[in-house]
Order: sequence, then structure tokens, then C-alpha cells
Amino acid sequence: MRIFIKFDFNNTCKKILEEKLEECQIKHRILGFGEVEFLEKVPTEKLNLFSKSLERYGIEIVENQKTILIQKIKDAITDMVFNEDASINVKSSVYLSEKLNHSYGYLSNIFSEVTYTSIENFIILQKIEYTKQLIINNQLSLTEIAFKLNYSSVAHLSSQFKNTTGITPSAFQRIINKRREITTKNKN
Amino acid sequence: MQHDSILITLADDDEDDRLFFTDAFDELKINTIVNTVNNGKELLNYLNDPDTILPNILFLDLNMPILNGIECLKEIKSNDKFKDIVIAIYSTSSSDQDVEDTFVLGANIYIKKPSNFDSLKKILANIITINWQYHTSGLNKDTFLLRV
Amino acid sequence: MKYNRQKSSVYHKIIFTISLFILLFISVLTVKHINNISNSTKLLMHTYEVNLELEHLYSYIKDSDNNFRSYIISKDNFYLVLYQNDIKNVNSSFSILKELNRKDLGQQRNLESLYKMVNSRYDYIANNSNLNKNVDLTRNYDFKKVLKESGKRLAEIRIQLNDMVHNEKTNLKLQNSVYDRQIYLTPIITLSILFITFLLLIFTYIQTTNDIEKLQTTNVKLNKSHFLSSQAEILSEFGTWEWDLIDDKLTYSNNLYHILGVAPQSFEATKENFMKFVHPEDVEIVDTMFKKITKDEDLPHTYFRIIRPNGKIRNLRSVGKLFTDNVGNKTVLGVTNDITDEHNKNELLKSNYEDLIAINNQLKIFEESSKQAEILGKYGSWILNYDTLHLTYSDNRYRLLGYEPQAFEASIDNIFNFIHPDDKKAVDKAFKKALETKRMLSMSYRVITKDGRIRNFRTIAKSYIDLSGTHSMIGTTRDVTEDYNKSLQLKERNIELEKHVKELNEFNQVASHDLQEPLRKIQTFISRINDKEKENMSDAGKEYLSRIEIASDRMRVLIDDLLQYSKANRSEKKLETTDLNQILSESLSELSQNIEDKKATINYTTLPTINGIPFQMQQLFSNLLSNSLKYAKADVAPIININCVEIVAKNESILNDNSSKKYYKISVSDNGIGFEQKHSKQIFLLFNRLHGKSEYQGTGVGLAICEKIVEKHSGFIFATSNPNEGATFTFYLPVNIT
Repeated sequence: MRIFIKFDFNNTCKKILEEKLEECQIKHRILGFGEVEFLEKVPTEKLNLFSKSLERYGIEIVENQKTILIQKIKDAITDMVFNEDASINVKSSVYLSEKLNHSYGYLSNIFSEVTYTSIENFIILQKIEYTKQLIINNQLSLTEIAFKLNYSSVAHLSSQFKNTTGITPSAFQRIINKRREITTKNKN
Repeated sequence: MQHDSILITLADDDEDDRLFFTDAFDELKINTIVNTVNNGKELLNYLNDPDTILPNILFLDLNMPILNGIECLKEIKSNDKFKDIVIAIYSTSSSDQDVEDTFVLGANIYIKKPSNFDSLKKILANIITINWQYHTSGLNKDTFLLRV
Repeated sequence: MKYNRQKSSVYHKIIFTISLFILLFISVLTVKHINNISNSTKLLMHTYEVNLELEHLYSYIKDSDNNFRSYIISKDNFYLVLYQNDIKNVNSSFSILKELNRKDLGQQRNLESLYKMVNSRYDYIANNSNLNKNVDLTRNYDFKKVLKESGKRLAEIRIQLNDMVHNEKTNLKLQNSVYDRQIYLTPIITLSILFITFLLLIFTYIQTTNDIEKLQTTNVKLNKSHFLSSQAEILSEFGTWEWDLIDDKLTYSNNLYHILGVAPQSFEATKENFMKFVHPEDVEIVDTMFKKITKDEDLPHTYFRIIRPNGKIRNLRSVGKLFTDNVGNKTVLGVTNDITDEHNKNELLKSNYEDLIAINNQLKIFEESSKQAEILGKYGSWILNYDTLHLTYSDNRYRLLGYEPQAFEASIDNIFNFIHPDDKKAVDKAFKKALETKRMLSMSYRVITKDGRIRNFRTIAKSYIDLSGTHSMIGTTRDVTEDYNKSLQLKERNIELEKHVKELNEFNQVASHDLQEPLRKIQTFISRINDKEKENMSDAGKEYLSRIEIASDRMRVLIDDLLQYSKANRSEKKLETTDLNQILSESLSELSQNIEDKKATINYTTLPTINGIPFQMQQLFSNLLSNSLKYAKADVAPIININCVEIVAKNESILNDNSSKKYYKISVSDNGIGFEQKHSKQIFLLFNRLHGKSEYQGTGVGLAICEKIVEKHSGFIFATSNPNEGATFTFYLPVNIT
């Protein structure tokens, strides 16, 4: 039997944080995605313990201001791309600068400095990522996906996909399907 | 970019290719630790060695004696221990069928060995970057497919 | 026509006549009696009248006497007149009496004498008494004498009268006694007459009633017969006719009119009217027929045609026989039959028969040729009857086993003995199954012939039910030993060839692949040198290095293309359902960058789904498209049109195929630089290029690969172009119903 899973990262991470914070007995307040306020001074070892417990989940405590901002930018972009309700018609630069309260130029610079790649590239990356998810879910056609992600045409999506991953969306789908076949065969 | 070095392993029976590979990384100035093995058997031994720190990225040549790339790929993918390793096929062949077959078997990246040193450097840099982005941005590693 | 008298009616008539005569006789008797009675009555009346008259006479005489006396007495003339009157009366009485007694002589004599007496008396009186007045009474004496005399005469008259009366009475009595005797019989006779008449009437009435009944019954039977016969006529399509030879009169039955196609009795039955219906060609026949009837009084079967008013032609057959009745009337009674259907059927039968003969001849020829074919084709046929298990072998079937035809009685058992021991089991099983399921698929097995040789046989059979319901299996067995051996050989050769091909392909692949390795190294090292040592090189060195680079690049492309070509050649891939639309879109995806760079427009219609190798089809499209993009005009944005249409082989002369095989005709045409049509075949050759390497990139393998791919898909590819007018590449792929 096969089921499809949609990940709500926000929720998942929040739950993990809470669990771990409870475990480590750190009084806290969760402010938003990626922000936790400690309500008391936490000793370094407790912090390390906490940090370590989050490691296996791939959650890291970000220390750098810049890193924090980068993370915020990334999260905002992820939000923008993955969120269906988000106003897609708004230009990403406008959206980001409004959301994060900095000029787009500033954000762009910081991003490139730290990640060695541009915001645009990252947006594309996320879009392609979402596309991959939708393709795997198998519920929308490529045309519908293109429309959903605000591409001007399927061809546009296809070519961006190919440019990013080096393979066509249909090839990607084929590969995923074949992978599935193998896993089911192996199970049987 | 990264706190720690990126661990990279190359499995290739060709001496020249190994040379190109290591030279490229040397010139790239990314914080990488590169080691090479000569064939599939060596690779598996290396990976299975409890002392070995598993690489972040494994570059795998397909045409190797004793145990060729495909077999290695299958072995590695069937082992849960190695599931975090990003596998990049590093091959001379560029047939679409081979590419797709390796992806189906679980490879993440397929690189056709370039005939130009600069290209090699660029490709390797690109891969490192993208890999790091996957790592830091919570992107789905399972669907990480890249063909160069 | 003379009429016959019935025998029975004669009998009746005799009786009737006799009774009539009896009646007449009796009536005559009766009449006579009646006459007698009336006569006697008359006689009576006569006697009575005579007597009356005599009485009257006497009374008149007396009266006259009285009156005379009175006269004498009174001498009154009155009395004289009276006396004269009375004498008149007497005379008239006498005349009357005379009249009355005319027939009776005796009485006449009496009467005469009486008359004389009377007269004499009167005379006496007259004499002796003067009628004149001279009478006187003085002559008393004479007068008294006269009176006495007259009285005496009167008495005499009286006696005479009485005598006469008495005579009359006696006569009357005499007559009456005769009549009485006769009269006595009259009522008896009358009664008997009545009685007999009554009997006769009853008898006659009964007879008549019976006769009428018989007649009616006969009539009804006749009507029925008549009805049946006319029904029979209608049903059997014949009409009857009667030809009265004596009166020369023809009568036609109603159905004869129907046969002629007209209403019954619609024309007068004559020869001439009949002739009007006869077919012009048969007029003579019918004419002869009529003559024959009148001459021979007979008509044997005669055939002729008539044409009905509605134009239809009918075939008729007439036959007639003389019928003479027992009063000698001669009639020819005939039947005319409408034999058109029979005629047509006969014609059909005849032609069927002729066809059958022809078919039979053909079959005989066929049988003979079949026998020869069996010998030539080295096969024999057999029939197995499921019910009786009787097995029949054709001649050649025996020869296949090395025997003479019909050398032994073929049966399931003895046939089995010929089968190779190793195959016996399989054959037995198949045979049993065939008998059960009444079906037999084809079967191959070995036999050992009469002279001990092993031959390979192949049998096919089919169940067959003939018209009588007999279930049989009809089979053909062929000696396929040579074929078998040949096919074995072929198989072996094929395997060898395939091995060779495989080896060659592998060699190809390996060679290309393995050639790539060192080449790649060379190129990489060249690039390393370029990076690191360029500054340290001399100009010449840089120059040489550059040329090495170019040459090795060229080699790489060549090897790449060769590799592609050898891959296209591989036959390992199995055909699968391929949607060409998907393939095209993937191709376009692949070339998307190139398309964008060149600002090309690609127009395409819906493409079909075929049986093919997806990767190869993609390569085909990609090669053609990239060619079109590559060979675009320098300043013109490339426009590429892809079309598909389904065609039939025989309509496309270029295919040189007259069959009705269907193909998809897909054309890729561009507006590029084109080429001369004369090169259209050669561009598909391996490594063939129409341009120098410096003008356009390429190794000349692309189109050769396209051709190989199309060939692999059992299709064809052609190119048409003119310089500067773009090029069209058309390839045909077979339409397979998947």
C-alpha cells in the first residue's frame, strides 16, 4: 500500500522543539518559525545538550546574525513558494523586502555573501523542489503545476527544470516511478 | 561556507582521472577532504570499515574492474548505514539510458567526465554548492537529482 | 343434341300412362253413367211432359167440349170463341206432342190415331153442330146422338190417352229399370276411381319426391365436383375445354381464362379468339393442333406458348381425348396445363445438370492435379471418421511412409507403428485429445519409414461436419524433413550471425567507448597545459598545441557520433508503445536552449502513437530538429514544421509498394539553407557531409543515425530540398494496431 505524505515543517519542527525543550527542562516561548525565547538563563552545557538532541532532526541553533537573516530569507522564500495562499502575483523582491523589512538589495547582498548563490537562484531551486514534490504526489499534471507555480508555460517550467537538474520533468517522473517499482518489488 | 570540511570520496580505477579529480579540488579552495579508492571492492571495504568517517559525497566511476559502479551503487543503496551519502556517478558514458538507470538505482548526481580541466573544476564546485544548499535548506535529499 | 330418356322415367311413364288410361276409362264410364242418369232424367222429364201434355190435351178437349156444350146451350159466341181457342190449344198440344214423340214411333202412331180420333170427333162435332147459328135444338135427337157420339169418342180419346200414358209409363219403367241397374254401379265405380286415383297420386308423389331428392343430391354432388374441379384447375394451373364436334362449339373452363390472363368467360370461346393469345412463333403449332382435333378427334400432348395481356409469356401443354356418350354425342374433352413453372424448373435443372457436369469435370481435373500436387509437395491427406474411427489415406500418404498407394488398410493402430518411439507418447496424447475435443492443432513428429529412414512429419487437421452430419477430421501430413533440416541449419546460422552481430556491436561500442578514454585524457591534459604552461611556450608551441586541441576535439565528436550510430544499430531493445507527442516534447525540451538562442518557431500537429524504441525516436527527432536549427539561414529565424498524416503504401509512389499497408508519414520541414536534390540520397551516408568542417559543425553521422533508427522501426526516410528553399525530411513509420 502506498500513501502520500505532505510535510508541514513548521508544525513538525515546532513540536520537536517543544518536546526537546520540555525534555531539557528549559523554560521557553516559541515566537515564530525559527525563533525561541528562553525565559531564563540557560547554562552552556544544557544548551549543548539541547543542541545535541536537536542534531538528529537536522535542527541547528543558528548563531550568526547574518545566518539568522539568511535563514529568515530562506524561510520566507520557502513560504512564498510552497504556500498556496500566498499572493503569487506579487514580485518576489517586493514580497521579501516587505516581509523582512529590509531593502531587496541589502537582502540580496547578504544572501549571496553567505550562501555564494543569489536569491533568484534559491527561489528557482525552491520552485523546482516544489515541482518535484508535486510530481511525486502525482495529482497534478505538468501544465497544472506550471500554472500553480506561476510559470508562463509548461515549456518554461520544463526548461527551467532541465536547466536546474539537468533532466526533464518527465524523465524525473519516470525515474521516481521506477524507483518505486523497485522498492515494492524488493518488499515482495 | 561550512564549519567543517566536506568529505569527498572518489572511486575510480583510472590514475589520470584520480589525478584530475584531486588537482581540481586542490585548486578550488573549498574546504574539502578528498580521498580516492581504486576499485569497487576497495570502496566497499573502505565504507564498511568502522573507523571510516563516511563521506558527504561519493563520486563513483561506473567502469571499474572487480566490482563495477552499478554493483557498488546497488550495494551502497541497500545499506541503511550509507543512506546519507550523496552519490555522484562520475562516468565517461553519456547515454541517457545509463543516466536514467543510475538515477533509478538511487544515484543523486550524474557527471559525464569532462574533457576540459576548467569544466571539471566548475562542475565540482557546482556540486559542492548545491549539495551544501540541500543540506542547509531542508531540501529533500531523496529527490536530489542533478545531471551535469 | 339428342336427349336420352331415363330408364326409370320410362317405367314411371308407363305406370303413369296406364293409370292415365285407367283414369280415362273410368272417367268415360262415369261420364256414361252420368249420361245415363241424365238420360233417364230426361226420359222421365219427357214422359212427364208427354203425360202432362196429354193431360193438357185431354183437358183442352174437355174444355172444348165444355165450351161447345156451353155454346150449344147458350149459343153464346163467347163460348164459341173459347171453343175455337181450345181447339187451337188442342192442335198446339198435338204439335207439341208430335214434337215430343218425334223419336218414339209407337207413340207417334198412337198420337196419330188420337189425332185422328180427336179430329174426327171435332169434325163430327163440327159437322153435327153447326157452327153457325143454324144449330137448333130441334134436332135434339141428332143432337143427343151427336152428343153421345162425341162422348163416346171422347171416351175413346180418353182411353187412347190413357194408353199413351200407360205406354209412356211402361217405357219409362223399362228404361228406368235398365238405368237402375246401371245406376247401382255408379257410386261404387266412382269411389273406386277416387281410391285408385288417390293411390296413384300418392305413389306418383312419393316417386316424384324421391326423384327430386335424388336429383338434388346428384346436383349437390355435381356442384361440389364442379367446385372441386375448378379448385383443382386453379391449383394445378390447368384449364379444361370441351369441343363439341357435332355442333363445333367450344367451351372453356373459368381457369382456362385465368391461365390466359383474362377474366373468366371474358371472350367468346372460339378458335380465333384463342389464337389471339398464342405466341407468334407458335401460331402454326396451335393451328395444327386445332386441325388435328377436328380431323383425328384426338389431341396428343402439344406444347406451345401464349402471351398474356400483361405481356408475360407462359408455356402451355394441351391434351385432348374423344368422349362419346351413349347417345353418340362426340365431344373432345381436353386439359390445358400451364407448365411455365415446370418448364422453368426443367430449364433450371437442365442448366444445373450441365453445370454439375462441368463441375464434375473440373473436380476430376482437380483431383488429378491434387494427386500430382501431393506427390510434388511431398504431402498426403487423410480423413478420420470420428464415429466409425475409419481412416482413409490418400495415395501419396502411403508413399510418404515408403509404401505403394493403398498397400495396407489404414487404421489408427497400424499407423501408430510408424511413429518414432520417442514421439509416440506425444502423438498418442495429441491424438486422444483430438478425438475428445474433436480438434487437432498442428503437430510435428518423426516417423520410421518402410526402409528404416527417419523422417520429420508435420500434420495439421481440422474437424469437419458434412451435410449428413458425419463428423470427420480432415488432415494433411507433410514430409518436412528437408525443411526441418534446412530450418535447423538456418537457425544455427542465425544464431551464428546474431552472435557475430552482437560481437560487432560490442566491438563497436567498446571501441568507441574505449577510444573516448584516451582522447578525453589528451584533451584534459591539453587543457592543463593551456592553463599552466601556456606562458612558457613558444608561439610555435602554442600554435601546435592549438591545432592538437582542434584535432582532438574533432576526434571526440567523431567518436561520440560513432558511438551514437552503433547504439542505434543495436537490436536488443524491444518495441514498446511510444507516444510520439511525448517524444517530440522531450526533444524540444532537450533542445530548448538551442531553440531559444536561435529564436526558432516550431509548429507541430498531433503525432500518433507507434510501436517503437522511445530513446531512438527521441534521437531521431532531436537529430532532425538540431539539423534544421543548425542549417538555418543566417539572418532568418528558423521555422520548423512537423506534420503527420496516415497514408496507404500504394498511394505513395516513392515507397514502391503496391500493398495496402498503412504508414504514418511524418515530415520535418524547415526554412533553412537547403541543399541540392541530387544529394538527397547521399546525405544519409555515414560521414557524408555537404559542407566543410569550418562552415558548419558536424560529422555527418546524424542523418545516418536517423536512417538506421527509421530502418529499425521498419520505416523509410527521404529528403527533399532545393538550395535556399529549406529542406524537408520525411519518414514513414508503419501503422501497427497495438
